[in-house]
Amino acid sequence: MNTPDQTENWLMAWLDGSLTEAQRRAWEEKMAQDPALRQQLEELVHLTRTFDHLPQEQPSGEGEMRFLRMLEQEKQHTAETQGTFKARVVSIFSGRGMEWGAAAAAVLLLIGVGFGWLWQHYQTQQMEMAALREEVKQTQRILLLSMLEKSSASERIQAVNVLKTGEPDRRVTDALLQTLNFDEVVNVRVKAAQALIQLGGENPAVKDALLNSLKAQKSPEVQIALIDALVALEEKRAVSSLQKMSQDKQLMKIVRQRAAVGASTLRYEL
Amino acid sequence: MGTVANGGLDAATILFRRYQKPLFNFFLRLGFERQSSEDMVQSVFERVLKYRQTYREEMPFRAWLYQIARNVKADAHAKQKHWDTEPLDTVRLDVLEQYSIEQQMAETETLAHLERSMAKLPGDQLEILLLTRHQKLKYAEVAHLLGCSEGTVKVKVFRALQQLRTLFFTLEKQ
Repeated sequence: MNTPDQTENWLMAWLDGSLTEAQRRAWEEKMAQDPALRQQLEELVHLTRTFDHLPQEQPSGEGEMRFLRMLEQEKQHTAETQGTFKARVVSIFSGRGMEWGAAAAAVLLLIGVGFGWLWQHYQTQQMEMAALREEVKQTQRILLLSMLEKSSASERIQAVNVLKTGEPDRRVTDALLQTLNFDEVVNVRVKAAQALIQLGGENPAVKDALLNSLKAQKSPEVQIALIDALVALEEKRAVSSLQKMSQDKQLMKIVRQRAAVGASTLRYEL
Repeated sequence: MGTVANGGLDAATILFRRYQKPLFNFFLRLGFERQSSEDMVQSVFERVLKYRQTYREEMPFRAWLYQIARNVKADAHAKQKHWDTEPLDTVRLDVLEQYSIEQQMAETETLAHLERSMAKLPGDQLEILLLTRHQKLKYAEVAHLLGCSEGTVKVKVFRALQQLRTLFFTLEKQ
């Protein structure tokens, strides 16, 4: 392929948005002198915009049914292949017609040759399964994170419950903190606080965020969940806030009591 | 091992749900009829299941998947070449509903122009444009797929765009 010339390189960089400010200015000046070049760029921009927004068609629902049938067949095939292999090994060992010496030699040979092949096959399958599992894990996480944004309250609770069983991850904790601070439904916020106990134990940023959230939350249920979370995480910086809360007459009695117990628990642990 | 294998196979359902629509649109935009495109998506997943041992972790998953899709396409082309320009009324109206009638007509007309121009584009150029701009594969993934450098992919995409631009604006002027 021919090496791109300077104009091509500039046009590509323009479309990618990778021109520096100085290059962009130089380009503008060049185009002011060359209307054909300007037109070329405008056409390219218009075309890429149209192309990028080509509508996506919906496949028929039948596709998934067909796929599931195919998957069942593949599972059966896999199970049968394993079954046949087992059956063959058993039949060799229980063979009456063969002399024991010859049988033993045949078995040893089979094991020798077969083991290498099986091991290689097994390794390949393990790698492929690991890749698939990783892909599935990522897909699930993306789905769950998107559920936190755009679904019903019960689905958001479900998403929080699943996310808390996963591995701690910056994106997950950020999403949970966002949910804790901004979700409109109290129960979802409570669940997010509970999930953060499990995921944020080692993360100072999570503890800071919980402390800040404690000052901002107005719902008694969420306040209690946060007090419990801070006590569970042994966050001693919460003592003074909890003491203040235990004296704050504007808070519900049950919150004040919980804050007092929390403060003394944390103080006692000091 | 049976449990692990079954676990992996169940995972394939999630992969199917995730990639069915993009692959269907990939085939559709390459010019295959709806039914053929659906069949080809099935063929892709049949091969995913059959050749799952050949997947290597160092290869991006999408590059592997679209490599299979390209093979399925090549086999389909070998059997029969289709270009079924979809009639205008199949352009998705729900996408257009947010616009006024005049805007909708202009939008439909532009899309129809684009589809006609795409039909005239050489197959490899259409494919690389679809992979990068429609299927949103990264240049690195397409480089894996085509066995060339990212820089080469970038230039190929650009030249395909230039070719499409010539076709598109020539048609529009007619």
